[in-house]
Amino acid sequence: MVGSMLKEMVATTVSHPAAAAANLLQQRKDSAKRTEILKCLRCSSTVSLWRLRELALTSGGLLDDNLRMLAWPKLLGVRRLDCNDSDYFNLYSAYNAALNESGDVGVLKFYSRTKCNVDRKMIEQVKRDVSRSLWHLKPSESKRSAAKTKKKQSAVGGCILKVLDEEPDLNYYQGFHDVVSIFLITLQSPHLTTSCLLRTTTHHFGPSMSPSFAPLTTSINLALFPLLSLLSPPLLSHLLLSTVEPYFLISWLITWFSHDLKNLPTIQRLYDAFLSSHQTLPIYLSLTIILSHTDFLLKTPPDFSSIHSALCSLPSKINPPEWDGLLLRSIQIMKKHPPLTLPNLASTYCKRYEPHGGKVTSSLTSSSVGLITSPPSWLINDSVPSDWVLIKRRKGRSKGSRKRRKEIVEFEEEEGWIIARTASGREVKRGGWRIGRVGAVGVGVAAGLCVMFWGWEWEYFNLEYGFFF
Amino acid sequence: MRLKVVLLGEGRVGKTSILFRYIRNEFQEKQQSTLQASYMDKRIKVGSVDAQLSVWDTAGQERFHALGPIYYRDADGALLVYDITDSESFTKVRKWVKELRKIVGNDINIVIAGNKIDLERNRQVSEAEVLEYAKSVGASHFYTSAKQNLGLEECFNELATKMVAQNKAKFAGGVAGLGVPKGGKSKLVVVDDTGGGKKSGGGSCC
Repeated sequence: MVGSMLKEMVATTVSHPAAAAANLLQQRKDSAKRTEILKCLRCSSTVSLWRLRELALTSGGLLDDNLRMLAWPKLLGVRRLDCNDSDYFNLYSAYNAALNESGDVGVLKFYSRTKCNVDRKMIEQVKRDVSRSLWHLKPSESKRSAAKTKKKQSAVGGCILKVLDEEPDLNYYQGFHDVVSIFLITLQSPHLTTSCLLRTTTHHFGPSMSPSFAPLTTSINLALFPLLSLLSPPLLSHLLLSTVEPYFLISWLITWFSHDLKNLPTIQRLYDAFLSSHQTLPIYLSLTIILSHTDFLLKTPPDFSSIHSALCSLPSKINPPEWDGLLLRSIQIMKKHPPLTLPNLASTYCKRYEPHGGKVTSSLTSSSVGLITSPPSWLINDSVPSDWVLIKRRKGRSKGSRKRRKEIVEFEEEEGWIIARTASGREVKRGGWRIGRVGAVGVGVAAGLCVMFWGWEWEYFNLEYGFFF
Repeated sequence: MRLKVVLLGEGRVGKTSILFRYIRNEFQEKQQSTLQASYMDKRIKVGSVDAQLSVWDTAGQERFHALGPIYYRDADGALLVYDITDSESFTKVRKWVKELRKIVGNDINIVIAGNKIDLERNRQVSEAEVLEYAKSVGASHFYTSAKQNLGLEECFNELATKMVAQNKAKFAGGVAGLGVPKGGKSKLVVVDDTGGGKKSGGGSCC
């Protein structure tokens, strides 16, 4: 994916000088932003979360996976250093065993190998969804990548079941597997993914994970059409004429657009924004998407089928660079009409559009409004200690423990590696887990030594290349 | 004549695969889960009548069913799909029949499809039970395989024939002033008849 983006970049450079200049400018801006994000994450003793949130919301979001790996846990109040994937190998090898056996046998195997308490039906559903997940993000499918995808799938399945096991009140829904996939692809570590998910599921995805979608649909009813009645009455009338109901955006909200978009960097950029803001931002963004296609929708004949498919197709029509503007506009709308004002707005809407009652009217009296809950403390914290501080603290605590010290040295090396690569702004091809990276570096060094001993010419010895691939 | 068909059934029984195979003759082994209802059109000929089938695909998981009525409330027919290798998916068919009868009424034409017949060796749903049930609710039953493209044409043709016959009867009733079809649907039929040029619908509505 990254390769094709680079190719595109090169192609535009050759054909359009103006586009090339714009590209160069964008690259410079990105590079400056990268430094800024790193500064925020590393240089001071505490990470200023408001600054980090601002960076995540503004143009390009957190820019690349290496930065996201450091920033997402901070935004969610999770300690990356406390995560250790070795505990998770058993979990997903057990899941793998369950996946390979059909029906009850697989589930029983899973139960016997883990202490998981998740309902049998839910495990079956997770198995069904996970086994067909991740593929839509991969345009080409080689045998090797298919094997890799399968491995990732079992990690996705393991993470989902771990979350459901830790939080028995949560209910799995089809689409949650898409969310987990994005977290795992970005954060790489199953333990870190699970810790981050435990935060988002209890807050951002809380309404979707209750026993039914009622809290979610109530919130949609209270927000979408009432806001439209204020911002674009002609469009609202057109939609009402078609008798379409606002539930077409459910898949956008329950997967944060990862089900409907195919471009991974775009999805991750949206996740950056959603993780750093109020949980209603996806609804406001949906509204902005609809508003930005007003002309197209008004031209669509107002019958249920046509309008429904036109609305469903909107996210895939948007070019990746346009998302920044849409996010900005949705934040402006949110500022002007904050979530707490929505019930008032809805009651005004009801008087005008639903004099004899309707969905919005019944939502107003419903007790299950999901999206207008007060945010948890970790979402509005001012700052958290940086990883650097945490390492130092650990060092102080673990005097004498050789194993622990070794862990810290390893972590620092890895951290240094990530930072060095990110600061130079180049694309990174990362190995799977930490062990994978250490292995890759080892192989690189060994290969380098062999080349040296065999007396090859230095010009053939591309240290950088040999080292990282 | 425009006819609306809705595909219902438990998750992963193959609703989306049936839709893609029947309309576009495509099959994907790794079909993504459906979260958002969508539809596709296909023009077919039933006897002398040109019909446009709008086939709606829906999400399978139970929690999405609460959103279902907006998709099937004005459907002419329903294709209830189950997986012959999964007995629970057949139990779901029974639930759907009850729900459709309750919400849409007895008018809706139902065809039951036992999908994945290519996996006959793993069959868990007994044929006798299925046929007996289908007969008891007045539905036809077909075995299908979206993967091998088996039984789909027959299945949809049967459903379309039933729907066309019912629509004709309805409009005949409409002319006689006995039973006027639902407002929303008659409008759609008028639009389509101007293109199709078929007699019965146009006469009754205008």
